[in-house]
Order: sequence, then structure tokens, then C-alpha cells
Amino acid sequence: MAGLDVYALAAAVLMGLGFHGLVTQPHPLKRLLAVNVFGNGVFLALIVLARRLPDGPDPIPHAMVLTGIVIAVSATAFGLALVRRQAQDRERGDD
Amino acid sequence: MSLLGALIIVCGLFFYLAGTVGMLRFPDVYSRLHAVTKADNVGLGLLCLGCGLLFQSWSKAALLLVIWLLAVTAATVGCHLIARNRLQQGDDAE
Amino acid sequence: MTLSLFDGLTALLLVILAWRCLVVPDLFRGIVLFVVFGLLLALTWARLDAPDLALAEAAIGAGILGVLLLGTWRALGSPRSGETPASSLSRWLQIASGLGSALLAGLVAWALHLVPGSEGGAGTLAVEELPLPATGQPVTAVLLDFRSYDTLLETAVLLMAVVGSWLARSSLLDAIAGNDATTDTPVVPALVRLFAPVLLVVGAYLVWAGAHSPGGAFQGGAVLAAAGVLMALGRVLGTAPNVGWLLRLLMVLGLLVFISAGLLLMPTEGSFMAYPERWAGLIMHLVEYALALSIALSLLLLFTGAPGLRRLG
Repeated sequence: MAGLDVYALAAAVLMGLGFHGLVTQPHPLKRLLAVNVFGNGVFLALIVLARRLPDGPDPIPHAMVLTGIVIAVSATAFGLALVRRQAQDRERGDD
Repeated sequence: MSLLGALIIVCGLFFYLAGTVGMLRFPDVYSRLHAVTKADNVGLGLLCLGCGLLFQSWSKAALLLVIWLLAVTAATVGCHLIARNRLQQGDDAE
Repeated sequence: MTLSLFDGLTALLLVILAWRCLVVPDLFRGIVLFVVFGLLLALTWARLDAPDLALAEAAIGAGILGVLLLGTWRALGSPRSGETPASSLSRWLQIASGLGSALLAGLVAWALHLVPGSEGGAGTLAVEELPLPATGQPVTAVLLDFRSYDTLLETAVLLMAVVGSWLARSSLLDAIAGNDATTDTPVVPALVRLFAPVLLVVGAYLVWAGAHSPGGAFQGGAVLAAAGVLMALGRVLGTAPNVGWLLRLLMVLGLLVFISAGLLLMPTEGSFMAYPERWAGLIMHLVEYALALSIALSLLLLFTGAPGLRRLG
């Protein structure tokens, strides 16, 4: 049990890092990375909690995190498309 | 058999270590690529061989062999592309 | 003891990688570090008894997302402009943000420490309640039996992301391929010929295997999408300005099958997405395959960034 709590600690630190990065990083790509780091911290916390059951890991948090991974990738992909579009428009504006 | 497998795995890990040290310490892209692809392919091969011996099952050994072949192919192509890109961009892009 | 040493090292590496990927000034390095972070996270999921998540993270989180990030980095312009400017916030605001984040992390760690290991979690009850485990695998069964809305709506979210990317009109593949002499080598098509069939088989296997072991529509779909990405990079598939009707149909196939299976059985079963026990396994398999196809196509189109696809060679 004690060995696993390092992951809970890591999850908390990841959330902190992600939040700090989101607030302080100016580049949009970096902000997307920060949001993803934050999200992965949340996923890690859920999975750590899922393991605290006496009889095997709880499948419901697993299912929720699986959904979460797909949603995170979808949102990030959309964000990346917006970042590219912004760069395109800026180039056109410079010409 | 399991002792032999463990020994081979340790050898494989040594190759990984050497490849990593090479990647970190070598001066330019080409020699770094050389270190990573060569040493890590051997390392992965030994790792697969060792795991195959530990599992003591032909089907798992065959799967590990396929994994190794795919990884070697991917590493080769990746190495080729990186080196080629580097060559075309010129060495001054550091 | 050895295991807790392994756990400690993994957790420490996770934190270090996340930190480096966020603070390193070179954008390219940040992205590469993020991909490595994703792979280490996949290892962590495997260690924490979540093999389903390990597969999903390696295929979707590290694989597809890595390709998207690197492609966007490439599309943004010359590598020299990859240096990100320093933060525009004042020093005091940065310190305040750091303190706030540290407080957040401390509170979360404290909360996670306090949560006890309860006797019967929701999942235990759920697995007990499963009327007839049509699939022998708890995560897939829970997803399909109790969290159908999750799966349904996340597929819809994925579709919305694709539509959103279309609206942004920023083709990623054309931006990469346009100024790239490195893919002109014969090695890449050879690799595609070798790997694409393997990836297609592995993807189909993962969907099929989802019924009784780790795997499922999302993992399989991501591997299929990876095959598509490889083919697009090897100039087997190209972008097209228009969406063909077949492509449209395939993209909504998953949602279509899922919703119609849920709706058509409503008169006999009484509620949305309730399946008769005899047919539950068959329906779930059908839904999974349809979902995998739609997910694969959606992820692939997120990568190409253009509405349509066409064969090149």
C-alpha cells in the first residue's frame, strides 16, 4: 500500500504542474500540453483510487478514464487545428 | 534455463546502457544515431531472447521474435529518415 | 521492496518528464518529452492493473496525439521559430501561480491520502449486478452495460472534433508533405507496404480481443488509424477537398449502429439501450466493430485535417 501512494503523490504534483504551466506558458501548444498533463494527473488519481478496493481494481474508474483519454485527445486535436489556423491567418496578415 | 534467460537479459540491458550513454555523449547526430540504433537493436534482441527462454513457450518466443523484427525495421527506417533529413538540412542547423 | 523502488522511480520520472516538457524552451523538445511522458504513463497503467488503459494510452495518447503534435509543430513554420518566448506574466504573478499550484497539489495529495479503501466500490456492485456478462472482460462489460452513454457521447465528441477541424480549414498533411523532401525516399513506401497489413491485422485483433481480454473499439480503432497515418505519410492516401458519401457513412456508422440498436429494441425491452439477454453479446460485438471503424476514420481525419481522403498509389 505504501508503495502505491507515490502514484497518488505524483498525480497531485502533475495537476499542480499542469495548472502552473497553463497559467504561465505563453505559447498555445505549450498550454495544450499543460492541459494534457493536468488531465493525466486526474486520470492517475482515479486509477490510484480504483486500486484501493480489497478485491481487485474497480472497473468503473477504468472505464471513465478510457473515455477521458479519448475526450482529451479529441479536444487537443481540435485545439491543434485552431492553433494551426491562427498561425495561417497571422501569416496572411503579415503579407 | 531461467538462469541463462536472466543472464541474457542482463547482457541486453548492458547494451541498452551503452546505447544510451552513446546517445548522450557522442558529438554529432550520425554517431548518436549509430549508437542508439545498433546497440538498442542488439539490446532488444537479447531482451526478447532472454524473455523467450524465461517463458519456455514456443508461441511466446515466436511473438517476441516478430516484435523484435518489427522494432528493428522501424528503427532502421527512422534512423534513415533522421540521417537523411539531417544531410539535406546541412550540419550547420545545430 | 523492489516493486516499491520501481514505483518510486516511475512516479518520480513521470513528474520530472512533465516538468521538463512544460518548462523546456524548445517546443520540439517539449513535444518529444511529452510523448515519452505518455509512454511512461502507459507503463504506469500496466503497473496499476489497468492494461486496457495502457493499450489506449500507448495507441491514442502517445501515438496519435504525438503525431498530431509533431505535425502541428511542423506546420507552424521553420524549426528556428520553435523557441517559445518567455512568459509574459510579471515575476510576481508567476510566483503567485507557482504557490497556488503547489497549494493545489498539496490539497489534492492530502485528499487522496484521506480517501479510504472502501469495502464495496461502485465497480464491485456493478460487476455483481451484470445480468449476463456477455463479455468476460470487466472494463468492456462495464462500458457497454452501465456506461453506454459515455461511449456513445465520446464517439459523438470525437466526431465533433473532426467537424471542428474541418471548420478550422488547416490541413495538417498538406502542410507537412508540401515542404518535406525526406519522404521522397523509397524506404518509406516499402515500410508502409510491410507495416500497414500488420497494423490492420493487429487493430482488428484488438477489437475482437476486447470481448475477453484487454482491448476494444478504441484501442483497435487507434491502431487502425495509425495504419492510416502511415499510409498517408507514405503517400498511399492523400487528402481530398470533398467528403465522399462512403466516407460520411463510415464516419457515422458507429453512432448509427449504436443508436439504432438502442432505439429499435426500445418497444420490446422498455428502455433505451436495453438489450435482450440472448442477443446482448452479438449486438455488443456489432456495435464494437462499427465503433472501431468510425473511430479509426475520425482519428485519421483529425490527422490529415482535410475533409476527404483519396487513394494515391
